Order: sequence, then structure tokens, then C-alpha cells
Amino acid sequence: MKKLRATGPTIAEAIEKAKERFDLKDDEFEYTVIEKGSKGFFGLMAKEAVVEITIKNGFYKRKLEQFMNQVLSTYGDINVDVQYVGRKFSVELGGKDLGRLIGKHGKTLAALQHIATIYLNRLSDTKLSVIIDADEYRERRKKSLEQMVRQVIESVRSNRGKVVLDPMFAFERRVVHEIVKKYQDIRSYSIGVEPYRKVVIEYCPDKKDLLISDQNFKSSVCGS
Amino acid sequence: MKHLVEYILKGIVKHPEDVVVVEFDEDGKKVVEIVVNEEDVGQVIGKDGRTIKSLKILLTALLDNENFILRVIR
Repeated sequence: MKKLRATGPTIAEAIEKAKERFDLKDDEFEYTVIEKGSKGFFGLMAKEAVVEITIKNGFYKRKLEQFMNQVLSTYGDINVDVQYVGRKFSVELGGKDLGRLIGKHGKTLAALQHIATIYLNRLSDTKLSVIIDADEYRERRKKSLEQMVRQVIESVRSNRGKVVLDPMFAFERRVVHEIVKKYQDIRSYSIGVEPYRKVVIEYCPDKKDLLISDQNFKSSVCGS
Repeated sequence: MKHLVEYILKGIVKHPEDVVVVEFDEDGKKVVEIVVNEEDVGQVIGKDGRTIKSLKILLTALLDNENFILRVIR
């Protein structure tokens, strides 16, 4: 969301100016009149009209679509679909040439998401989030993560030890922590620095007591 | 490739008019040099170099080749 002020000799001209400057379409903003403006008396005492324009989400959707299409046109035949709920924008990519766009462990997808987030927030005053998924890659990845975590939980339970997982992205670590949270006797925390930060899954039979006795310490240790 | 870098940079900086991208060969290696407004240098590199790394990853995927240098000039 962004609010901006525009001025001009008349209200209509002020709005026209703002539309041109920010590449706005008619249904992509709302405005309130701050100052009506007047021609004055033979140009004396003339006042400029001032309007306050609020840009709506439709504008960001179109801009993001435009940006993604332009960037991805160099990558081959890829189609872009942008949806939004509140401040969350999600981009779904489809098409034949997605493989190299996902990259190893979704690395390229993450890079694209980072760039798209910066782009969108450059146009907005409030923070907007962007999630990019290709051919439901993230969904599939989440499922395979879940499967893997369940196996690890079984094994640390049986040998009462701990397992250090491979390095993962922040959003993947979050998925792991969330799954582990459901188990009373298992805990998880992250170690190392980005981009090699990894999750440790540990057998911890008195997790419950720990939670009650030292919540602050736990939350600082368990943060992703 | 030069156009893609230019397009992306222009989308993420405060001063798109100051973006200059030059592509050339140096000792048989491809080099992409980026010049942006002083104020935008930090944005283009990003925290811990995250943005410039993302750009590099995108280009690597495009070229199918990691053997090039991305340089920000200040």
C-alpha cells in the first residue's frame, strides 16, 4: 500500500499527473481531495488542487506480473500467475522450462523470490511479501521434508540421540520446526550461520518441563 | 544477459536512470560490471551480499555456466 499526494491546477489534472508518474490505471487507486484549488481572480490568489492517492493491490499485482514476465521471458516458455491476499502475494509459475528455474534445492527459485520481493517493496510503503512457487515445487518439497523428518524422529527416539540435518533455507527449517513441535518428546533447534544453517533434531523426554521452567531460554535456542 | 541485469537492477534501485551495465571479456572470462547511484550500492549488494548473490544465481541458471564475474563498481 502506498499513499501519495499530487497537485495540479484542477483535481482532474492532479490525478492525471499522478497516474502518469506512477503508471497507474483507473481502477488501481482511490483518492480523497485535500484541497479543491481555485483559479483565483485573474490568476491572483490561485490555489493548486491537492489530492491524496491510495494505491490498491491491483496495481502491485499487475506490476509484479509485468516484472516477472519480463525477467522470465529470457528463460523460455514460462507463464506467470499472481494472486494476493492482503499483503501476501503469491506467484505460481508454469510451463515447460521450469527445471533450471527451480535450481538445486530450489536455490534459483529462492533467488528469484528475493529479487521480486525487493522489486515490489520498492513500489510500496508498507511491507509486502512475495512467495514464488513453480509447478507446486514448494508443496512437493514440503511433503518430502515431512516424510524425512518423521523418519529422523523415529530414529532419534529409538537411539535416544540427535541428528543434524543438511543445510536448509529458512522457510524449510521453519517447516521442520513446525513438525517437530507436535511431538512431546522431541525438540529441534538451528545451528550454524547462513547459508549453511541446519536443524538439529534431538530426543528430549522432558521437553514439557523445560518449556515451563525456562521458556525464554528455550525460545532463544529454538529460534530458526 | 546485459538487458536482463539492467532490467532487474532498474526495478530494485531508487535511481533507475543511473544504472549502467557493461559486459566484456577479461582473461577469457566473462565479466559483468554494474554501476549504480552511490545511494543504491547497498541495496544492490544486499545484506550479506544476498541480493547480488541472488542475481548471480539467476544468471548462472540462465547461462548454465558459473564461470563469470559480477562486479559492482563504486
